[in-house]
Amino acid sequence: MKKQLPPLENDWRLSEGVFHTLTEEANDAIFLIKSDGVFLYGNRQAVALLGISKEELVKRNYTEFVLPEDHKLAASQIKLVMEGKPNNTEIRVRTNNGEIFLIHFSSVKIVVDGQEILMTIGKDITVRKAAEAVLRNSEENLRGIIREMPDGILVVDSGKISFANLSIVRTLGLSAVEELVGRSPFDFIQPEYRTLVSERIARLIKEGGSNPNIRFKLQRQDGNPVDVESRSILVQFDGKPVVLAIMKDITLRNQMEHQATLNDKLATVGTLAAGVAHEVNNPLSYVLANLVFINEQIEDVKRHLQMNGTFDETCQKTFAEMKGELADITKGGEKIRDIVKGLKAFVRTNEDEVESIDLNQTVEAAINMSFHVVKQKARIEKDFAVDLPRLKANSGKLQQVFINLLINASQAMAGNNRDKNKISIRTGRYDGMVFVEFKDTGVGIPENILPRIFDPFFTTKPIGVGTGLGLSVCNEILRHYGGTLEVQSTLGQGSTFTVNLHIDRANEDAAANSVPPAEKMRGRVLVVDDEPSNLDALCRLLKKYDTVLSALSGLDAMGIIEREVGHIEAILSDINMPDMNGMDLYKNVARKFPGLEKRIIFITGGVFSEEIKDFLKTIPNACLEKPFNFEEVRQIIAGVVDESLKNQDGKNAG
Amino acid sequence: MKCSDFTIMFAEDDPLSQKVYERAFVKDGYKVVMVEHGARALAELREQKVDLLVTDLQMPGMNTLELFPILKNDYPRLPVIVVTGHYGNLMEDFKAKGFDIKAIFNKPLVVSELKEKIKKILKIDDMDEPKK
Repeated sequence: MKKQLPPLENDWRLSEGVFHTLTEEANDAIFLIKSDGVFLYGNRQAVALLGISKEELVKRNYTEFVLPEDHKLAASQIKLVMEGKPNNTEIRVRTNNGEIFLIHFSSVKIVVDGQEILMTIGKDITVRKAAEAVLRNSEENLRGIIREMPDGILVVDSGKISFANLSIVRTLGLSAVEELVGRSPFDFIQPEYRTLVSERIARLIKEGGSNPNIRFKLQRQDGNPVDVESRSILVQFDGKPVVLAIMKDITLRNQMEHQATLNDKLATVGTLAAGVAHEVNNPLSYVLANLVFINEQIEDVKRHLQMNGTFDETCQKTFAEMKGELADITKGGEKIRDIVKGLKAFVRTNEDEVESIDLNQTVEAAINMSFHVVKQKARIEKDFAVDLPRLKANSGKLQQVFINLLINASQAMAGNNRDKNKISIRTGRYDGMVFVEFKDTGVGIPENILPRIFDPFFTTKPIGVGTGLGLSVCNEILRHYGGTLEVQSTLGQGSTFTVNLHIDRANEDAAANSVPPAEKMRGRVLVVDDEPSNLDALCRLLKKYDTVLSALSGLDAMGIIEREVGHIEAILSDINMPDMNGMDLYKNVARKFPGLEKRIIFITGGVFSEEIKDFLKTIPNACLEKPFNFEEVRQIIAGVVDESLKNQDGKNAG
Repeated sequence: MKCSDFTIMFAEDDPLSQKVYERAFVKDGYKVVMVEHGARALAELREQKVDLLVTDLQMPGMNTLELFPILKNDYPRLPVIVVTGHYGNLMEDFKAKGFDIKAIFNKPLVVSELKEKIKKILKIDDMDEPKK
């Protein structure tokens, strides 16, 4: 080939070796083509591209390799270059092997020994073009996906919306993306949620990453609210961080959840109705019966007076009986009143009314409501924390949660053996939360279905027994108040469901400020409770009136009594404690410090062994059942303290 | 036969209802045995002669439905009256299970009606009653 080259300029010829190396080693194909299209020269890359030898190349015409569709293009390429216009063209070439490549040709005219020759450098751009096409497609696809996505997407750049998809445009009741772009996102958020959202955006920009899902309300063009669930991430866009928010319109889902809550409530009312009727009819029976008795007794007294003329001992005895019967009637009436009150709170229509709630009372009301269903199967043990802070929620809805958990617990237990079947209900507080725990001794939940139990319509109960909505509704209700529902379960041993709820801070502060000013410190009171939170609460309350000593066990208490001998006016003690329980403490105190045992006041969770039950019957000491009214506790303690101080004064004086 | 010849057992877990039974039937002269649930009822039945059982349908411990098969087997001639707060066709359910129940009383209970029924079952003639 080199030999066939026509003679060249002298200075150029000097560097023929360089030229050869340059052309042969070049990465691109280099061709010299005569004006009629016949090849003069091709470098190593050129012949490799076309798949022929150098010897073959010079016998062939350029146009033979061009695809027929590009012949015109090739002809014009040659024509233009020969007219002296350098040219860049992309031409499809079919190689000797039949492969087709897209080649980018950069062509110029050179003159060698008076002969005009086309020199062109060909670059195979097939792969690049294909990649570009793929990229273009995928970008278009991505844009299409984002534009048509059912979830709304907004990009916020420096406080302004820079991108919006069709879904968010529809959600907001607008007609075009342009109505959103350039505006502040806060123009489309309901005023009460603006602070919340702006705090989230600020945090995201500061800390990066992503914000978890929240629910808030957007404001449509027509002013109507739209419920959305939104999460946002910080992404790089044109080299700077922007906030990308993904929003799902959950208005419909909210409506469905609301419906599910109602359905569950109806199902629960169905389950409870029979029980409630029984619970009302029971006291009603003895109310009516006692009224009959009283009626008879009035007749008896009347007859007696007519016969004897004097209101004698017989009449007095009958009156005393009547008084007892009236007391029973009152109890029955109160019982009915409480049941109706519970039912009213449960079914009341004002579902969204949020009030300040006493957790213990709400749990108690739920127990009353479901007692008839539960009591057949199991005994209930209560361990309520003293002086729990209040929380903000709808009491009916919380009752619904608790009743569901109680019914579930009782259904999880087989048979009616109340010695074996037990539901322990515990309330308490930690950090800024209060909790209530329902622990059953039922069959437990298999691990493989544990993650599904909060799913709507998931049920393991036979058809007609459960709706499968209960736990999912409980979960929803609690989530609404920022609470959580947790479950722990051991197969064959039982399950524990724990409801966690936020304390109503505002109310707690108000309550703290409304405490009456402390009177002068009067006596010394020892408080004994194995539950630290209860001990704390009792001490905190009593401190305002007396000097308070505290013990976490009966043994601790004995130690303190020995140390403070003669300087303790009253002892407030839990009954159920490990090691030394309240009864043992009483006996120990009676043995070592006779007289002091009379100044013990007991607190109980409401349930105790037969032994303790019998023991309590034999002693005159006050026994307060949790949850109790603190004022009542204070007065009883004050009474004991006063009595003790009076005796001391008496002794001192004597 | 008169009231004082008979012993009636009441199975009832509610203390105030117990009081009502006691008050109403002791006054009439019956011997009254009060039990809290089915298991105690069986224990007392082994101890003493009982002429009629009035039982609440649902009680903690052992309820009536668990008690009946044992009664049917061990005390087939003991007349039983059921008191319940539940409505529905209980009598048919009992018959289907082969339990012979003399009567079902719904709550709220009218004591005088219960008294009448018991007298009929025990064949007590009011004329034999001692004057008050």
